[in-house]
Amino acid sequence: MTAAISVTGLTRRFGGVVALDNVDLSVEQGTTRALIGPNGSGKSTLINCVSAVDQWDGGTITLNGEELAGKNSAKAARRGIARTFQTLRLFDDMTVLDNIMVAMHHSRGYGFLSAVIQLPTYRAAEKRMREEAFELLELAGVARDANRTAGTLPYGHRRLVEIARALALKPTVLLLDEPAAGMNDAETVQLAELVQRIGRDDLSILVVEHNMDFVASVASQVTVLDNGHVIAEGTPAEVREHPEVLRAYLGASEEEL
Amino acid sequence: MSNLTTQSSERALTPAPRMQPNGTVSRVASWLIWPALLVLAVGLGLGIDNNYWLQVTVNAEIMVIATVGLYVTFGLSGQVSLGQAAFFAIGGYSVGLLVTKLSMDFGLAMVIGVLLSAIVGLALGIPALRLKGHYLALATLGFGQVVALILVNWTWLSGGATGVSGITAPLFGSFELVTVSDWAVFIGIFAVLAIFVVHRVKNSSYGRAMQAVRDSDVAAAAMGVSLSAVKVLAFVIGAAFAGLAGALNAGFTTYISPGTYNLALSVSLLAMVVVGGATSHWGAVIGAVLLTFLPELLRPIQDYYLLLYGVLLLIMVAFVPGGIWGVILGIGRYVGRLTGIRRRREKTELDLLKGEES
Repeated sequence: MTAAISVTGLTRRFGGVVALDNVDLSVEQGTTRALIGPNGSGKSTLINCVSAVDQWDGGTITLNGEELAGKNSAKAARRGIARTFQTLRLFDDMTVLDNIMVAMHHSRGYGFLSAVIQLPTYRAAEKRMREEAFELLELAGVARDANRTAGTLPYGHRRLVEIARALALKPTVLLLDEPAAGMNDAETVQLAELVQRIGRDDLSILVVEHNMDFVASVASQVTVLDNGHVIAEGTPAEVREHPEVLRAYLGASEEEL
Repeated sequence: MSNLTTQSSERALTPAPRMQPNGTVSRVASWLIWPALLVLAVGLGLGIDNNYWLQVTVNAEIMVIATVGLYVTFGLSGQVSLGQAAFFAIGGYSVGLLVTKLSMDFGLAMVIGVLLSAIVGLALGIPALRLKGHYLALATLGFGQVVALILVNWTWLSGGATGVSGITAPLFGSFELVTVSDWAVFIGIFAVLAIFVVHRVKNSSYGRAMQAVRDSDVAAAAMGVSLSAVKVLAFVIGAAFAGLAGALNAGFTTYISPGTYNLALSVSLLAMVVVGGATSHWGAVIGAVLLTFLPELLRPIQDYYLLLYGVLLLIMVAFVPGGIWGVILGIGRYVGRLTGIRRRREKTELDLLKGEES
């Protein structure tokens, strides 16, 4: 098995605060790894580095064997690294379908003049994009919202649209930053089913999440961060029992539990 | 409804129905709007027999061209520009100087004027990438003032404060525009074309990318959209359209001077977009027409015009963020709800989405 995402010695400082300190992490191709840890442990910072939204101060990030050069999230996205955001970042004034189609802009396959004159290539490409976008919405279970303005959707639906939008990049690496945040139990189950459904041999997923039931149902491996350090790694069951993890999460010793 | 095969067919997918957000009727209707607008433009040019109102109409058409361009820059991609008068000037002076000093054909001079405006727009758009909001507004405002100063002081080229007069030339060889009516038809056709181009840009992937950049640049970049390419494109379109408007204006008035291209012009162009409604190019069109005719209609109370104009602008910005177009859409929705048209349409959309089941 080869690692789709390979992070070695990653360090990120914000002024005097070390958000990530020499972090190693890898996601095997075609698998899902969860990244858990208390608030402020550096999970989102790591996602921001791997998606090239943020820069880092030391270490290397390798995606599918190619080293990530630096802060250029658009370039990273075009290379197949897709992500969602902890705080929803949909294009609120656009329709749901148009939201998805934005992620296809770089692969639209027609030029500016072709768009103005509406050559057959334009029409065919638009039709293809619309159909693919609609398929993704069906996959995510929000096809009924296709023509609605994204900002008007209920919260849980917007989270699903964000995942559909990320998938529109045809990614090989998918980074989900707390996808279940703010969802109720039923919605979380629906989300877990979706994450299982999108699993493919050529898609590797790194998911940041607090909800351990969700983590256990989607991820085969878990990495635990605390204060910018990796404190544990293993299967969800192993990590759940890990004394360091219990201490970091609950501030309690093993005996008390 | 067809069964689709895509690269991602290994995913278990249900066959997707073809998306048809609009029915055939509304698609035909949306096509008819272009010939209708052309007929309107030509009809206004030939039909208005009062020379004064015909001139106002031409002015409105020129403003429509510049305003729909600014809509792409400001409304679609969210970049404020207070320097549109400068692009207007570049278009105008290109035509004025090429026609009077080099006896160039008017049509060719116009093409050069538009290209030059686009190039200057590109040169300004690239450094402007680093700026947002107020800073971008200030930078473009500064750019406008610099161009205005150059026009006054570069006397041997621009003719200084006296400007350039006698801009008359045949159009593409032999055809000549003589009467105001000729110009109204000519510029009217350009105005419809300008709206048409912007309409198509808006509905293409480029338009979606621009809106995405406006709504959330972080998310747009994370979706693979090159922020710089999209922003610069939007800026260049705004500049080119302002240049076209300036070139046409120079030909129509046969006279240009630096006084025309002041900050007031830049501000009113922006005001037209905002008052009309920055969410749609139709808003920009309405704003351009309204704010060109309003001063003329209010001429009897000239002393109070600016006051009224200011109050109107304040009211629009503070209480009607969607502009006039937003109000029209709101009324349309309300009427639709009353008559049940919209409900019925939503139902058919849902049926379409359900695909074969229905």
